[in-house]
Amino acid sequence: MNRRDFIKASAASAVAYTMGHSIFSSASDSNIGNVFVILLRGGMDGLAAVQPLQDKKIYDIRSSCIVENTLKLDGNFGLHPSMKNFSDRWHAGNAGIVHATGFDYYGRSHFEGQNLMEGGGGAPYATSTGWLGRAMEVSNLSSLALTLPTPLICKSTAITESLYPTNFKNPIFTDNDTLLKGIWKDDMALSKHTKSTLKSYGRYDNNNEPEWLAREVAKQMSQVGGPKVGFVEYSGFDTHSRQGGEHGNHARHLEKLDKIISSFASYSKEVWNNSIVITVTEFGRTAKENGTEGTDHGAASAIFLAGGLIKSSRVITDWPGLSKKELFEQRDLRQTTDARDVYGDVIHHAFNISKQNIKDIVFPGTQQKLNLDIWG
Amino acid sequence: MEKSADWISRRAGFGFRLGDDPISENQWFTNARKSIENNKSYISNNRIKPLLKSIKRGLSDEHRKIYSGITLNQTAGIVYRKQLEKEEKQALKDQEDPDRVFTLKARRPLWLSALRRADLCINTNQDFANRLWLFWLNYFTVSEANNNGTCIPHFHEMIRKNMFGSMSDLVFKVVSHSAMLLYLDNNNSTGDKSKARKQKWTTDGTNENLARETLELFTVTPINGYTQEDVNGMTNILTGWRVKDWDNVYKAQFVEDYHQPGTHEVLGKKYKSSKTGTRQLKDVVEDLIVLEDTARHVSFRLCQHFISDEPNPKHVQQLSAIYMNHKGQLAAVYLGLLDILQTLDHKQDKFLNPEVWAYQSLKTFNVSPPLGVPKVPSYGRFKLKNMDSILRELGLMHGEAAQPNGWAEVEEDWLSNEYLDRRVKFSALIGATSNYKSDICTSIIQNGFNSTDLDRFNLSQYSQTFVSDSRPFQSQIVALLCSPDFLRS
Repeated sequence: MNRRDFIKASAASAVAYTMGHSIFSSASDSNIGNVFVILLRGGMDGLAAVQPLQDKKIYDIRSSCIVENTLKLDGNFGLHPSMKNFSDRWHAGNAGIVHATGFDYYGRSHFEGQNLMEGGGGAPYATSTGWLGRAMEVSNLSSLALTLPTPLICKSTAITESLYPTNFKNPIFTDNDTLLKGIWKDDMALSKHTKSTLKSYGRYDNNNEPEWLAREVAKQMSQVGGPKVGFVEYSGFDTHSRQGGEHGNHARHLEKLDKIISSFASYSKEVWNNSIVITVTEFGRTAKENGTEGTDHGAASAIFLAGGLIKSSRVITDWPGLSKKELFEQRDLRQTTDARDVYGDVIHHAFNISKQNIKDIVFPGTQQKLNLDIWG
Repeated sequence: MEKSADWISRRAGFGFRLGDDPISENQWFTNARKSIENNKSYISNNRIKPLLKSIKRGLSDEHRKIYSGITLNQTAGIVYRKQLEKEEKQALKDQEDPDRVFTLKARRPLWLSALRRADLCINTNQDFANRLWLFWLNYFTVSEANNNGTCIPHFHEMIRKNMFGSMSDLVFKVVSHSAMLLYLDNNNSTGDKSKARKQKWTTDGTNENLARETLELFTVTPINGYTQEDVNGMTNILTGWRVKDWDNVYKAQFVEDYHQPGTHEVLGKKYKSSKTGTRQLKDVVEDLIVLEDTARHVSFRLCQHFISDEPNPKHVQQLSAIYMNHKGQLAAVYLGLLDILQTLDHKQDKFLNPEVWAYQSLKTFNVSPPLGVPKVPSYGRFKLKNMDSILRELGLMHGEAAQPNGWAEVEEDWLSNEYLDRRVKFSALIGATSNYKSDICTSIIQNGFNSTDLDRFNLSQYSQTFVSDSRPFQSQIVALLCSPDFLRS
């Protein structure tokens, strides 16, 4: 496979797509899709998750991290065998993969990288709001984060509630309604959270497995007037040591990711048809395996996309190649597709935001010329 | 009238106990300066030694050493020991479940260290020193990973012992500690030209995780503009630092056989290998520590923790200059920080993180940290009767941060409905359930706050009226602890 050889996989299988009936009461809602974001902190290894099959250089630079028995995608790439449910979605025509993508960032710092992947700015710490928050603001949408803190990615003036399981039982104390409304009344920062905190108060559950969280997101998104955007975080992809190939650490993390996606898919029911799941990670990992059977911080990674909004499954990439001179500083996969263009195209289709607005507000400084060509 | 220390004790300490007489602001600062100048005196806590024999009998030798400082009273100690023994018996019964026994052994030091931390912060008068300790625990975040669990409490104690010396000594001890070497994957990092590789004892090579974070988080930060070559140099210097003897896991060592021999370069300076091996790492750390970028980073972090989410650049500069003048001698920096704190007005504008807020809440009402022993495995519905699970629920438990940059320092990151919900629920426990009772709570639940007590919190007129008007009286406790004025200091 040559560099700049633009790969467009054919749809794995053609499926008839029927529009699920709209569960939303308001007319405007039916035009707006649901976006479920999975933040993969630590830096997912795109080369292990979606392994190139034609670029044989990978066998020169990796040994213990090589994935055997990949699942079939398009002939040029193989999917990690932990991603069985995703594979089903792929074959149903409802999945996409963007490879060799990133945020135009080569600094290899988790924290700068995460700031970029959530803030969507051109430089680390350049913005205090998140790109999805800004997109929600433009479209007047609200979101639900299945996290304890509110992640930067959804910060803006749009409403993000969080929901996270707790072991704290509700104490024998009744009138917290009056209490919180009263005591926070004059405080700008706290009073914004009064309503949602009171909502949290009644909940009690202690299962914080990410697939359970995905189920909660799906359930709430399926409700009339429910949030249109959901977030869940999964940390642990920072596999510096003993990463493993088909099995092992990285495989386990991918299996979790697969469960999160499938849990969302099954509990979102008919809302699935109007949804898209996206993964976001700060960077990929070194193309070359390190000395402790792991991989260090690298550059480009891959993005997984799944959901009923996708009508034909494809791997989209402008493959940069794995030879020494093709790698960035002879070690990292180069970024040939700007992740901000990918997410821009996703929210353009899901939220009906014009590309101009995306360029001006959501991802300032980007071109937004990419069409993922998965929308049918 | 002399200004009272109530505000500064909440800003840079753990608040005050209702019922204790207020001290003056000057007195507070004098105490804080003394605790830094005579820092050794606070480390060994003599008043407590006889009290905790009972707890100590329930512990292994290593834990005994670590926890010889616990300050609980004797009755509490006996109760705690009995619960530990009960839990251990149960675990032994479940021998067929080796996971359970393993978890119990591995996690016990973490539970104990959470209890000890709460106890030291609430029950000793080393307010400022203890706050500095918590600051450094977060600055040098280590979480449970790669079997480092039993080393974490030891690591925390090491920081406590060394945080009044020089930054270079502290950073050297941090990066060469087992807890850190394991957490950031340095333990197997092996030089390609090392003896271990030549003799084929291992196929391992280098791993740059710790090297990169040492530059990024502990010293110069990316603003410095270091390159991959610098990370590689640092990585080579760190090869060979590892746990040599797992029976003595606290003692990491430099094992020359795994070290990449030769000269390595970091930020344009060359470092030769030395016979003892430790010199090379010490040298590079000493050089990194006296750089402006490190000075600014440490100063910024201190100002952000103690002064404001967005610190005044003048304050950062002032502290940074002191740091540079004293070549990273931390006691001088702390004294400089106290000087800045003394010039501040008393606006309540620094949001307290969940840990500091929880300790202040307990201390205010003279409630002891709860002494329950977590069940193993600790998932499932359990009652929040132990410090570590409470801190976990509130959102800040040292040793469990998701990433090496630790827990958030700014208000915006602590404001989410779920975090706030935990605080409301925790506040409502105080005075309401048997583990959280005290005479002060009982009196408030019967009669409400008296206004002199409430005055001490520097509440706004609105909050003050709202708290005093809350009924039943127990809700006055919740209203106070969740008031904007108490959540901030």
